[in-house]
Amino acid sequence: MDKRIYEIAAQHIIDYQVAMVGPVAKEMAQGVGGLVFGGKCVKIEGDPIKVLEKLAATYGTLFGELSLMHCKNALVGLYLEPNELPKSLTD
Amino acid sequence: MSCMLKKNWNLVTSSVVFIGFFLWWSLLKLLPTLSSTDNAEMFAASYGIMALVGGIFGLYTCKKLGGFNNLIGKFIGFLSLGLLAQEFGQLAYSYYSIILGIEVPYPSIGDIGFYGSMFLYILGAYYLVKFCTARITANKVTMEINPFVVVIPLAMLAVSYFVFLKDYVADFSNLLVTLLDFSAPLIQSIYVSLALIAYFYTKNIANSAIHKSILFLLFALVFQYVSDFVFLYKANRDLYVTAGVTDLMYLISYFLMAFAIIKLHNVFEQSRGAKIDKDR
Repeated sequence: MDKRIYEIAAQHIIDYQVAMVGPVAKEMAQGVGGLVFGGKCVKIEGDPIKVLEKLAATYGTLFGELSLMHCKNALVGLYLEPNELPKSLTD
Repeated sequence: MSCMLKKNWNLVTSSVVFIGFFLWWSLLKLLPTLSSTDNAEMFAASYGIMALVGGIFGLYTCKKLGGFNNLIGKFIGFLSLGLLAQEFGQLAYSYYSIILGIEVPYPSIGDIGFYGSMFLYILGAYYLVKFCTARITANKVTMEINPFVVVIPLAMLAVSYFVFLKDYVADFSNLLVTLLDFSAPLIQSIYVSLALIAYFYTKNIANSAIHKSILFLLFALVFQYVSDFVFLYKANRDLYVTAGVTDLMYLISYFLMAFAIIKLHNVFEQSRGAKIDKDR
């Protein structure tokens, strides 16, 4: 799977969380290993599925189940198959 | 010790303000020599500082969270503006009773603050419900609808009607007074309904870092409603006493809101510093 789609997915998740709780969501994402900021879209280094998992877990500590709902909502329209997503973001 | 105080300066400040006013109220009740009308009016004019403290902290928190550009910022911001509106109302009432030395007219400029605060609480509670149920459809944030959204407001409206309005005789020669009398309990029932609806949706944030703070804020909103309810009930029956139990309830509700906002602020500050596997 093209890494680019995961980078778009990560950016969507971050943008969605920023719309919910403001810039603190981006600051939290900057603490996630494997995410590189600088430019229009975030870049992923390493296994993209693991990085998305870490990003979802980061927001999960703050907002619980709601953050996973937000992350799943953010991925609507990207047409990722369940085996292409972290376990926590599949139904 | 001083390090801990410095770290929690906001909690310490609001707690000190609350304890100070609570002690003042207690002395007014316990010591007959202190319980003059002037002292009571001074207390009633001053305790709104608790709402001012909460409102200022709240707006500071709102700014740190990105202002009114996101759902949590709007939630905190509108609640904080509601607290400031309450203080405006308190100050306006005190201006009449202490500076001008006259009975507070009804309606007066102070009622802009009190009625305004109810609308601001409605907005705050609405954005909390939206935050807890948000979905994205076609790039718009929409709300998930639940039967509670209908049942709870109807129940609260019914309570308000039967307690305040069932035997109310409207005076159409003074339309503004009638409108304000009629709308106050109904508007209050809207914001407490939204708070109760939000409570049902907090299952979505169970076991999370913000869960307890949000529950605390909801409790504070409900306590504010109870204070408003008691005030209206007593005022309608000429039972309201300056610096009485009603004012104590308002003081407590302002403190609860301030405390809850500060706790939420501290949770977000801690999450700013958290690093997840940064070096892996």
